[in-house]
Amino acid sequence: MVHNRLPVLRAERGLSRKALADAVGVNYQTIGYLERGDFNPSLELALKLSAYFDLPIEMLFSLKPFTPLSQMANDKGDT
Amino acid sequence: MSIFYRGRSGKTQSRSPAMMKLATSIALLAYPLGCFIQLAFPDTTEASDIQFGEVFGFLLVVTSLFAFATFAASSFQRIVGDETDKLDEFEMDLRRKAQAFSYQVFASLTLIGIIYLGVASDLFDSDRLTLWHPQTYEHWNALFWGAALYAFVLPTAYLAWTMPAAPEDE
Repeated sequence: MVHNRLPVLRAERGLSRKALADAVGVNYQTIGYLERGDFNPSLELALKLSAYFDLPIEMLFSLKPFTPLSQMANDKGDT
Repeated sequence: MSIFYRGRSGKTQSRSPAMMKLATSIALLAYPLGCFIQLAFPDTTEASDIQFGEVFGFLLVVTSLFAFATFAASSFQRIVGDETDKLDEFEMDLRRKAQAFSYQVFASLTLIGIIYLGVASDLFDSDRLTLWHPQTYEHWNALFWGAALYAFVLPTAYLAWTMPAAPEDE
């Protein structure tokens, strides 16, 4: 299974599924299926999403579950 | 192979998975059952006979076609029947899975049918056993439309039973 940070990134930027779907050229429900992990994106779609959020692809998708951003921020504060 | 009816508004009709499961099951089951009943209770020339079997069989066939009409313009049918350039990669992935499943079922049914016809023609005019086989135009016509109906409905039925629930609207 491929894990993703799409819901967090979308919430951070105040984006609706429809807006993100229109930006990368898919149906808005596809974004929902993608976020829920029901569907793994093609390399092309993953690269489009990466370019849209202007983030490296490994920040969006991972084969291992992501560490929550709040925990990452906390760990960074401790060091 | 499938067909999709795009309405004048261009929008697809929303159908719940439960409704799709019911409609596709009715479409797939009512047609062969209706044909079988019509075959088992053939029309007679006696004017006094009430053709319950004939009428009931015909009603089942109509019910099957009506069930197909209820989802011919649905979002499920769009995935299996719309032009490929109007689908995104998730929908294309679903279509491929639905078509692969339908091919397996359709090919199996066709092989079983051919084996049956082979046995039936082998036994034709024998005094051991007589198996029914299509002889008239009506028989072949019913088989043709049945095959067409299955080709159109099987991929949609697969989606209705396996597609993950739609994400909740925001």
